[in-house]
Amino acid sequence: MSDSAGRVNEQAGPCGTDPPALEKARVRGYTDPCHPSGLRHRDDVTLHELDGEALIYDPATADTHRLNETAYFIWRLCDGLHNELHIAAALCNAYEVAPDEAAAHVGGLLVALGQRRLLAHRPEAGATHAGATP
Amino acid sequence: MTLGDTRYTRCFRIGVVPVRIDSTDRGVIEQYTSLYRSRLVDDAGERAVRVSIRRPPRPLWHRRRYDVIVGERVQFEPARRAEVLPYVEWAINWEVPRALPEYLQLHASSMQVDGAGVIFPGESGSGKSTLTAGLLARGWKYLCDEFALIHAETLELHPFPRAICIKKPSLPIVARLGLSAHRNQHHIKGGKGLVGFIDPLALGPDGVGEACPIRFVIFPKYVAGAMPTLEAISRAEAAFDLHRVCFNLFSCRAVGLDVIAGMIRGAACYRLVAGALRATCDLVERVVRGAA
Repeated sequence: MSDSAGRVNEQAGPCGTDPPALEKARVRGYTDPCHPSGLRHRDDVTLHELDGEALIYDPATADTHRLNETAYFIWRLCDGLHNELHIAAALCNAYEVAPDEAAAHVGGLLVALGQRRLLAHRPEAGATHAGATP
Repeated sequence: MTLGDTRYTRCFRIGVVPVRIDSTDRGVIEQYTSLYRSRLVDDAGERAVRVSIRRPPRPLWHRRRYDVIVGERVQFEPARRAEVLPYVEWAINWEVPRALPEYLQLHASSMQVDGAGVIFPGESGSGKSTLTAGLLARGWKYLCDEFALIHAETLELHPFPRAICIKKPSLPIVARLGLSAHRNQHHIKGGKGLVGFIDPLALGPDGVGEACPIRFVIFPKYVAGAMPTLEAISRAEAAFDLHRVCFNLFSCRAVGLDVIAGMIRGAACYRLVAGALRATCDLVERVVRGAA
């Protein structure tokens, strides 16, 4: 749940997400925002932070990737403790963007990171986790 | 020994790059020596870049008349004398990362002004060399028109003051600045066509700079008739683009991206649309010297 400025209501639910959206996420197979099995980026890459942006070197493919400020913000939240919905909420808070815009941005970036095999763990759509009811 | 076996050898130190050239063709050796006479040394040392130019006994109808050899391998086979010097330069460039692995080699011209290193990364045709000549004529110190050699440990920019290679259409422009092609000779350089080489010391003995920290990274793009503009970009964007113009990202003694990321933290980064040389140099000077 968010206010007119697009800020997430901190009281709306666990970790700042509203219950209906969280339930929707559960149905889609994403982990609970507070569950420690959320999205996680690979740790075996070399990262250089430069003024809030980042360069990532993947030794497995010898590819280098650039993350702009918001992409790097999202990357940092892919720490195994957050899911897509929670990251979108955090993006809303930090950059004052509309929830839909944040969700689209996060979703797009996660797809891009996945395609580049930079995520170590991303719960598959349709999958369930302990404690979640499909 | 017959006359045909005579081998001429010359050693040079071009900035931090030691070079040893030998040839059975005296004319070729003299051509190179005349361009780099002030860099002649008695011995280039064990780590020298070694290039041999041979003129093998081939029938007259054979198209390839010269062999440019690096190590034991024939790297280039120029057909005419006018093609030899550019290919020798090319062969040296290719060998620098192997001979001097402590340097990260970027495709960028490099200059020094007021003690600050400025690099202009870009592909061929981006206007690096002409811009370099223009700034040299304004008193900037020359480091190289084709490469930025960055020491992997100190992250400093080092000189490799090879002759400035200018395409024939741009020669009249730099000639107006007092920089003429060496001996007014033209050479043939692959896809670039006719080029002339300019001695960076032509304007004075102080024309070449020294090792210095990199303070500016400016990506030029020449657009004929354009109004010159400079646009600030983020260091991450610049570093990403720099890694794409690095020749030895993986063969440098250090991890190439580490070097780039470390170096760029102290630099301001821009994209430059380059137009007329004078206006472009005015703009670059204003920003670089203003910031300094």
